[in-house]
Amino acid sequence: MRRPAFLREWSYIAGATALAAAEVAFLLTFGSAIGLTAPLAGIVPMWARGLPDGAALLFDAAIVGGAFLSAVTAGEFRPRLCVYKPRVLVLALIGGLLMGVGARLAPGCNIGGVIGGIASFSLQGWVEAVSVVAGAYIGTRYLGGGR
Amino acid sequence: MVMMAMPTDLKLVVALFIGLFAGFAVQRSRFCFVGAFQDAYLFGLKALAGATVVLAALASAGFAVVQLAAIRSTGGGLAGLPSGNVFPVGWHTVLGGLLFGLGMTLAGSCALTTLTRVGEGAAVGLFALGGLAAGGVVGRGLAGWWTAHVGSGVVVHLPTVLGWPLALVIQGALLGALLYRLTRPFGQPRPNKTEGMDNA
Amino acid sequence: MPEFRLDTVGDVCPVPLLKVEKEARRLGPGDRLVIDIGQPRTVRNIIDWAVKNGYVTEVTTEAPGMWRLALRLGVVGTGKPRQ
Repeated sequence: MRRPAFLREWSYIAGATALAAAEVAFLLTFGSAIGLTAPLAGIVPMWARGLPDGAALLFDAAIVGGAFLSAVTAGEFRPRLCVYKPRVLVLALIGGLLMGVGARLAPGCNIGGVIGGIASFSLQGWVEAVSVVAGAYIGTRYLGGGR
Repeated sequence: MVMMAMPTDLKLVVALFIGLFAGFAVQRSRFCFVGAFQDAYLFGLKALAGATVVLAALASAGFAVVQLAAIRSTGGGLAGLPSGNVFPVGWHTVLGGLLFGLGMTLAGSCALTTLTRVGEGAAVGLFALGGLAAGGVVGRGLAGWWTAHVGSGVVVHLPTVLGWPLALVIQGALLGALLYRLTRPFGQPRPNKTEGMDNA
Repeated sequence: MPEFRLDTVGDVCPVPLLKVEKEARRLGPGDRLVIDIGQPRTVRNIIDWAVKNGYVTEVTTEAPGMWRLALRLGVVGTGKPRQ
């Protein structure tokens, strides 16, 4: 049985197309590709210079908002905190730390450095892509998956 | 480019709209980069990985169109173009990517999906987000140290180095090959990596 | 028909599907596995896996953001018993 109608979800390809459209729209407006992690580190990215303070952070907030809108309108929003075991939360924190550091070094996160870099025909994007996959492989093995 | 001459207020509105749209699309389509790797590696489910390649391909195509149109009208090279995210590549890229890949696996979400998890109400996303911010601050310092003591890397913009035609062909071929590898049926389904499980 | 419960609420990917696979290996054809899920992506993930293996699934929304996925293993002779 395929996905039930009431989940009202999009296909992965639809999501990919939407994200690609967002990237191109962003490029047309700002001349750079989307980046998510710089404002979280207190850095004002190039594209936000000249915009009111906190604009880049607001962009990240808009992503949260968009996800919230989608979840709420699909009846999927649910605050969940107590269901998580402490280990899960600690791993999330540590994972976030590693992502934060990695994103400053690469530079760029999965959207900014990998997709943004590749879409910009920059070698950095491809090298980061391979490195991220390698890191994901290590992490997945460490957590006990795969053989 | 016409749009780049937009007044800043309008630019901010556009940015917010793009963000809302992207967040909506990711939540609604269950897009996830962590899943793209893990679904394929652990379970033999390649749809997400394929969709990620499609994202890269579509974005590349869109970017190429925008940039080539810009070149046509300005007649110049990379400078002054909407160049996207052209960052220097070096060992910092490898290290940064490794750390990011490792981190996103431990957290269960990448940068984008950490934000969308928060939007869905999953507090675990807040923990990952906190880590992202704190790590970013640490990473800033580390990146600064690296640039000063190790090197700042090299910008390799493929169309500048190879010319647009060759760059387009090579990137297109690479993405096409990846897509083919991920979506083509292999005849007999391969066993999952988690056990020697048979799929009929 | 034996029915087994599995709770994945509070689990982060890839744990839910790993748990499901482990249970599926333990159970036999015709067994029913009922999974509590707290995350949309997990629902999608398990359904994709079930479709690939030819298992029949039925999803009900228990509450906003909470789903119950019933999985029937090995129907139509496509899922092999684990041992």
